Formats: sequence, structure tokens, C-alpha cells
Amino acid sequence: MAATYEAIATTALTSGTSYTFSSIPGTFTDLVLVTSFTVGSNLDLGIQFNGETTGTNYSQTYLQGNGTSTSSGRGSNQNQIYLDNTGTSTASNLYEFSVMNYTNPSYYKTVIGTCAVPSLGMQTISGTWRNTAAITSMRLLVGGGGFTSGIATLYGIKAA
Amino acid sequence: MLNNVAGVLGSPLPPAPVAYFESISTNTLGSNQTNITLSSIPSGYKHLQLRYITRNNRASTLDGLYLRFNSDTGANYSDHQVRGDGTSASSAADVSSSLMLASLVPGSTATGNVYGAGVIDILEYANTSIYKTMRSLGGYDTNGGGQMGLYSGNWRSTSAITSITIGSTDGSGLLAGSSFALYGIKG
Repeated sequence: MAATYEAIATTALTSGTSYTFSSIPGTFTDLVLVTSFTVGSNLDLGIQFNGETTGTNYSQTYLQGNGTSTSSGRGSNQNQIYLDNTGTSTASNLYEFSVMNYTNPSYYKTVIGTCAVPSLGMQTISGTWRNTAAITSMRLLVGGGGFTSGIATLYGIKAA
Repeated sequence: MLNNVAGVLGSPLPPAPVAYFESISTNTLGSNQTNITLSSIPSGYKHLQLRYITRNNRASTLDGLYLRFNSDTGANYSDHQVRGDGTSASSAADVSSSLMLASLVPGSTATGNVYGAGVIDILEYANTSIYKTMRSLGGYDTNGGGQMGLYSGNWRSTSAITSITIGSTDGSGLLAGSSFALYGIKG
């Protein structure tokens, strides 16, 4: 039986403030990105699709706990989906998120996922890219000092 | 074949391993339906994972997505939730319920083209020595509205799960385009 859960591509995160997975095949049902990395300064990790780096077509709702309290918030009309609200850590960060039915032209693209930033907290987010186009590229971005070490792997899950 | 990735590693990816994560069934609604039942679930896996994208037909901006197992409509379900609505976090529970809440999803009056998404894990679904436990991550965002939550549920039955019914908690049903993909994980 052909593999249902396949690694599409993997990349090191050792420098720079962004990495792009391009030419994503349209043969899967869902995409899953798993990444663990360190950064030079504590700024949020974001995601953009299909080269859309400007405009206001991204938003997210989050739920988080920081070891002291729980809270919820959202961001609207943004140029990226922020995958955390706590910021990243210079020590350690682990993110996993899915993009469901990423090629379906009938609805906007929904991202759901979790992140663990041990020094700051944990979060779950749901984000929307208000575009019905199939996703063909995915760009991870972080500000400030950029990535200093780590890895990101993009997986595809194919439904029957 | 690797894609064109900026900063790709020099080593190729290893060969695909023996499949432990297999697709069991996929159901995409071509029209609105009251609910959907994933039936004849084989017993040969260790765990189940349900990945979905959906929108309900309730005339509201949100609605509950429920699960039932093996057509059991008795008061044999309970669940706990930690949710965020973009303003505040909250927690709730249902006990002795006739259905199990798995997530909150957009209703029919939510922003158009927005569907809720989630991943539901049912561990040890065929183990006849234990009650069945579900965990779920689900939510949606409408650019000014939305929900995000973590859910756990329990079905007080030791029967192996052979079917899963999915529907809207107020009975209004699921909208066309909703899609539910069931996977089996071998252990």
C-alpha cells in the first residue's frame, strides 16, 4: 500500500528569517508541518501561503496558557498567520500544525496547530488564509535575529 | 521526489517505511446532511484518527460538532473542554450525555467560505477491557470571530468501536463540502 503519511521535504533552520517550501504537490489531502528551532530574539513565528506576503488576508484565534493563567485572543487583517502569541524562545521551540484540505477550491484555508515554548507557554491556534486557491507554497518567517538552529519537515497526508 | 526547498539538506530522505498510518475512509458531503456515519470500521488497528473540515447548518455563527459510537444514543457520554473565543478562555464539561462534544465549528451565518477544522484521536478503540477515550483539537477563525479548543471525551462502553456518527449538536446538520477522513494507526 502506498504511504498515507509522507515526508514531502525537510530543511535546516540555521540562519535567515524565513524559509519557503515551494512546489508543494497537489496530490495530498492535508499538510502537516513539524518544526523545532531556536532563534536569535523572541519574536513570533508566522506563516504565509503562495507568496502572499502583503495585504490583510490572514487572521487567527488562539488559546494559551503561560504557567500562571489561561487566555484567548485573536489577530485580524494581518499579512501572516501568527502561530504563537507568546513569541519564540532563544532556547527551544516546538510547533506542529495542519492545513486541512489544502487544495480544495470551495473554502478558505484553515490552519490548526499547537506550539510549545517551554520558557513562555503553550498555545493552540486556528488560523485562516482568506483565499480559496490551492496552496502551492508555504513560507515560515520569524523576525529579529532569525533562526539560529533547528529543522522543519513538511508532511503530506493522503486520504482514501 | 523532493520539492524545490530553500536551504534543503544535502542528504536525501530515507525510503518510505512500512505503513503504520493508513487511510480507512473519506466522506465528503455533496449536499447538506443531518449527520454522517462512518461504518464498518475494521478492528485491525491500534488507534483511530479522524481529520475533518466542516461547517454546520445551524442558523448561528457557531455550533457544536458531536460524536456518537456504535449508534449508542444512551446517556453514556461525557466530555471536558478548554476553549478560547478570542476574548477569554473558559472550561466546561458535560456528564451523562447522549452525545460527545468534539469541537465548535462555524454555523451557517458565520463568514462565508470559513470551515472549522480539527483532529480527533481515539486511542485503543478496539480494546474491550476499557471505556473509550477521545481527544480533540479543533477550531476556526473568521477574521474577527472564531473559536479554538481542546476537548476530551469518554464513551462508557467496553465495546470495540465499529462506527462513528458525526453531527451538529442542535440537529441542524452538516453543510455540503464538509469532509471527514478516518485513518487507522497500527501499533
